Amino acid sequence: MTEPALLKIENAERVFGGGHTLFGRQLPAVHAVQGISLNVRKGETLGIVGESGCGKSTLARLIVGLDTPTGGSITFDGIDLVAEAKRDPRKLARRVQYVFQDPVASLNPRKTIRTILETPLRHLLGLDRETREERLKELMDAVNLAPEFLDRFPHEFSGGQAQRIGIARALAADPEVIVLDEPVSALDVSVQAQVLNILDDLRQRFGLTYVFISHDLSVVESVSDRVAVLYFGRLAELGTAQRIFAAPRHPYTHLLLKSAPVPGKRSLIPEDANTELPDPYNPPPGCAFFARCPRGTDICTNAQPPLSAAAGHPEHQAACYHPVEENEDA
Amino acid sequence: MIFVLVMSINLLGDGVRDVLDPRLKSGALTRPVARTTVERKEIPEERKHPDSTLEVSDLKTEFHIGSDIYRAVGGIDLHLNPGECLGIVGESGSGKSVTAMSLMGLVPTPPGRISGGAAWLEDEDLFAASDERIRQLRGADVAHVFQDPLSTLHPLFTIGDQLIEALMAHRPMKRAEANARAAELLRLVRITNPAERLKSYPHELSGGMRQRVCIAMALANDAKVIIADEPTTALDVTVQAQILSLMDALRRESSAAILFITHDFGVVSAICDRVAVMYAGRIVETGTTREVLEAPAHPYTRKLIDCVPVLGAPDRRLDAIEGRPPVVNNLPDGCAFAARCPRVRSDCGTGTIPLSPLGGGHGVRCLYPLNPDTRS
Repeated sequence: MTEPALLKIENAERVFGGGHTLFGRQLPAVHAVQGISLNVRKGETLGIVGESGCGKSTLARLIVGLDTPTGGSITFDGIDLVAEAKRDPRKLARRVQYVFQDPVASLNPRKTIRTILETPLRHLLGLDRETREERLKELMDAVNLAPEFLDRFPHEFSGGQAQRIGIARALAADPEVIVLDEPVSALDVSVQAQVLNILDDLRQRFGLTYVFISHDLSVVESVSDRVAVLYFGRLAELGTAQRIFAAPRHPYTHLLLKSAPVPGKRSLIPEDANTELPDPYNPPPGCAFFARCPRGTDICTNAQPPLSAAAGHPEHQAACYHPVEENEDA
Repeated sequence: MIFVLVMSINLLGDGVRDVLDPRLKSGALTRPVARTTVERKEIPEERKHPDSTLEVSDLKTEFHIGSDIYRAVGGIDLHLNPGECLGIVGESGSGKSVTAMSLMGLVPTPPGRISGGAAWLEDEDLFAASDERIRQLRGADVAHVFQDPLSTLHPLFTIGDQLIEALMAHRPMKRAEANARAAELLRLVRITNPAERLKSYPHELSGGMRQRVCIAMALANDAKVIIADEPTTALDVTVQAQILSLMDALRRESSAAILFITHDFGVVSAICDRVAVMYAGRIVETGTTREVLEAPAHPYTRKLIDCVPVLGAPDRRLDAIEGRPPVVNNLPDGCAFAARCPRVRSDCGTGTIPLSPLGGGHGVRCLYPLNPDTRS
């Protein structure tokens, strides 16, 4: 864990809406991502979990430059991503790539797999015809697909195969970081395992760094070295996967883990269904989780809890005034 | 004159487009009839479980597309006792949804048709019932909860209107009375402030809340059987836990039987008493949830359990199933799983393999089931 940070996110913020109408009336604004600071080290897999609407995908889009942050900075190896993406988007695309959730929709239906995979080779790496041909074979081999598939169209593939092509396309540019936005959510369980295993092999073979976004806790646990739990656009908890799943500190992480169905576990402990979710247009001044939290006190409603480290585990941070300590049952 | 000319050219263009459209051949553009056609070649005579609420015997559903026949469901037997929850698990394309939709004739015809078997709701054969009778039973004795609540609910009517319609369609009652009953239903599914919520539109509710409205609608007429087709797949885990415990509590209160379709073994262990594993249109293993999960006898069940990551066991290498399920218009002889099976032997590819009992209601469709001693 002495590797320096490859990707550094500092206080990133993305606000949608806002601004004024023609007559000066204030428009409502949604803080999709606010005050997130994260480091991604070279060669690790950072898992990002959270419920829908917590800002996972927005954060991913900020990292690959598909969206620009309204505040804070995202630096890659010391270079500011936003400035970089404005000046030369290709330079960024060569180092950071993205894999989308819906495998079939993310491939152009009118182009053959060869054209799809050649595009990054030609435009980002500028390879000539022969090297391209060689590289295509390597790519198809890397994701376990027969080279004959190159001349077919995306609709001829099953979901799992299409997702592997999506991964091959991301690999084509020879990037250092791949952002995977729910890469296996749309796949069947048996296919999901194939894709997860391929991702694992590729990471070891090419020394890749992954940012892995998913709402499925068990998938995140099985692939990640470190995990960030998001709630309402903010970081709720950050730590090694082992610590987060074995000894979660934030009550929200506890709730997530308690709610996940596990084969062989008969009863689920649901939270009280009457809790109100915070209004994104009018966020509470204090902790956004307060309304659902069993441990909340007055201090939680007044100010945002800062990230604080666990005793003996400086890596394991939680944004909570009353974190669950070890050896304690929440 | 110009108008007539333009319209006639349009009409001609539409005609040419429709003739050339490949989708038309499969019947996707023809309007489906209100109920699946039943053309049964063989009709089972006797019920094996006379006390059950719902019994399905040798159900076969086919899709006729061009000259191909896709046997989506190739002979399913299952039964549901009052208040029981049976889970159907399988990959996509294994025929779980088609099984559920066949019961109430919801499979679109053309191209679908029920070509064999029987489904008894108490003592009534659903496939022999008249269209009018089926219309009465839908939503009354047998209710469905679908995966996507947003497309189940009509976006232009308030949820109150839709609940009241569901009530008044089956029982004559005054509107005020129906309104009160609708509010009561919402309270039953733990929605706070039901009287106010009745006035809201589907888009104003969260995903979990919408699914609760769909469950309320399924409960509206004291259904004997609720068919839940992946009701929690589109929801967050916290909401999923709420919905599952709600359904579990409701079936105990009203003794309605639930046919629960899912692909998640975690969800199965949370709510189902018994489970049936489907592969290529047939049940390959059935038994109590505990038996099937702890000691699966069919190699497919074992593989399916092993390929899912389990919370709390991150170091487990996922054991992916190689290959793909067979296409159901060209099923191999013998065991459909033989091509992907690690324990395949020469006689797996011939004849029909029966569902052989292992005792205690546990059955497996395999010639060489996993040994009970080595299973776990």
